[in-house]
Amino acid sequence: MAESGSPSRRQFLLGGAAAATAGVAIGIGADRAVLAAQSAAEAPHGETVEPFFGAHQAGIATDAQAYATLLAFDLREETDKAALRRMMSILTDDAARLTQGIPALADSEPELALHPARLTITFGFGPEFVTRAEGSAPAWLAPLPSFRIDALQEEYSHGDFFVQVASDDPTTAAHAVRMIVKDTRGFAAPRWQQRGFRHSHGTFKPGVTMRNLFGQVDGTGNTVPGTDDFDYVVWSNDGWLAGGTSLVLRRIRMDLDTWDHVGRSDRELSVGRRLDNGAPLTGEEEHDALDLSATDAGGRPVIPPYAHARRARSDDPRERIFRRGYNYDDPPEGGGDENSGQLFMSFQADVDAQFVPLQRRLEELDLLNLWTTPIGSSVFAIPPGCQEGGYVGETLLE
Amino acid sequence: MQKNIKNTRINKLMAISVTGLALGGFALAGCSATAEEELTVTDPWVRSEAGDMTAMFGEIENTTGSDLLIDSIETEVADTVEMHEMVEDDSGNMIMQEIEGGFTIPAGETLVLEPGGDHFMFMGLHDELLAGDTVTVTVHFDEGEPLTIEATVKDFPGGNEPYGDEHDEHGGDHDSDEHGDDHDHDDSGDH
Ligand code: HEM
Ligand SMILES: [Cu+2]
Repeated sequence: MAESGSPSRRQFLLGGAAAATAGVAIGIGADRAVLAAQSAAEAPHGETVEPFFGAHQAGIATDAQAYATLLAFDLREETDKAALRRMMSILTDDAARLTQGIPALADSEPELALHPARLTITFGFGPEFVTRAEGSAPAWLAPLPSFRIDALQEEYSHGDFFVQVASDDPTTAAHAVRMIVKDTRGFAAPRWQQRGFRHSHGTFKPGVTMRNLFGQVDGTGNTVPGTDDFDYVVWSNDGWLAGGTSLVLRRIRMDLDTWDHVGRSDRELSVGRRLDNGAPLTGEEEHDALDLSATDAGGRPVIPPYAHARRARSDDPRERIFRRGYNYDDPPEGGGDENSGQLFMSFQADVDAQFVPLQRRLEELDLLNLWTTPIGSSVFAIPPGCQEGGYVGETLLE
Repeated sequence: MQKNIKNTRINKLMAISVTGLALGGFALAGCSATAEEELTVTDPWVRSEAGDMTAMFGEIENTTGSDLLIDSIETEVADTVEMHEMVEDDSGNMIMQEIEGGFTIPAGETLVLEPGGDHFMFMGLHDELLAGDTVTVTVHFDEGEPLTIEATVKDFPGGNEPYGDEHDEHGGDHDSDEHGDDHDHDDSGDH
């Protein structure tokens, strides 16, 4: 009966508070109390939570967590609009709880839910999802046009339903993935899973730009969450997608073996930025302006015509994106000894107006193409967030 | 499923509430019941099922100040609802059986219904219960007003409850292949 068997979830949640009260009650000395208060102020990072409810889904403007698992599913044949409603209600409930450190309903491993470490769970819809929901899809919600540089593999591409699970703790993330997979199972079959990482929490002070596996500082020229510019670049104003956005996910293999043959100065010229601190070749500090018109004594551009950072910058201010990618480093396949790259992820209000022109420019000319190959590609609509009592996807499904 | 009812489990440290939870209003007739004297239901859920039987779980906290005895339970989705506990049979296996006289919830205590433990057993399901549906369950006590619970249906593959052959040992007259593994959706068209 009461409190028999496994500890109740209430006990999990109240356990810490109860213990703290007990400490005060037995009258610990003043010094110890101060120490206890200090260490309580520095609560373990596992207890840090990102809000779930809001106008936008978490996991986009959220300072990128150390680990991300990306999942795509194909809807089962019988999954209709009513089933999608049930699915999104269940998954929203899972996400609302797990991200706040509360076990999911019917969670078989409730202890694994207690330390979210900034866990976020973000949902996205492929074209087929919108069709089943009997909604109208934005024109860009389709596979990207093909690019000469692509060598796409089906097993890393597309899908009807997308979930990004991201946390600073990989065990927490694995549990959340497990819960999402179990609760999606009845509605959709797994299509692919891709895992990525950034620097661990605590390796750097917050706000330091990540490095990719070429050793480059990657993410400097990016619109900044919390600014009007970010809102303009990222959030859609369109129908059921208002407050949402789009995700372009490109799995891009980075050939570390051929990159090894490139000298340091050529590496820097290939991007137009320094390797030590990410500063533009026209400046000293990382965030100094990238001066595309600067020339050297011989009249040649300091940032070469083929440099990635030059090619990735368009004159049209609408042709900008928010990049929030992850490195990957998976076991080698097919007899090779290398399988590394980047889960390139960009969020933008409109894929066709913002992403595609940039990708076209890079397809035409970008020295980095020598060592990078897109091998997976997906586009998803990321619906807006929801308020308490609602669910993600309700603007499409209700 | 859209009900915006407070999750009683979430304490002040984590001041949020989430969907799909129920707070049962309750007052003891004939006693000096005040508004605070309520029953609190936390995280009620029912296992999705395509067969004949399933179970409901969750926590019911008796904050009324008086002991309570559950007299009967009903739901529109099943013929009958029994109160089950898990006991060890002669060969050391845990099996479920109907609890004699029904569950009592002493004042201030919580009835914990969980997979592998006490549960409400739905017998004779009328229709398939699908994950994400909401099921209304009414709990009648030996005295006082009944408690209405809105429980969320969830897929749940585990819990190690003998729903199969063992279930017949406590008088079930259902086909053993109607429950057990068939709610595993791996290859399935269950939904
Ligand atoms: C594995 C593939 C890629 C690598 C290794 C890579 C690396 C880099 C690096 C090192 C920078 C300079 C630092 C920074 O501003 O973040 C940069 C900038 C940038 N990259 Fe990439 N990138 C890759 C693919 C792409 C793709 C596919 C796109 C878009 C289609 C893209 C768009 C951009 C943009 C917009 C900038 C900022 C340019 C600016 O300063 O305005 N990159 N990238
Ligand atoms: Cu039973």
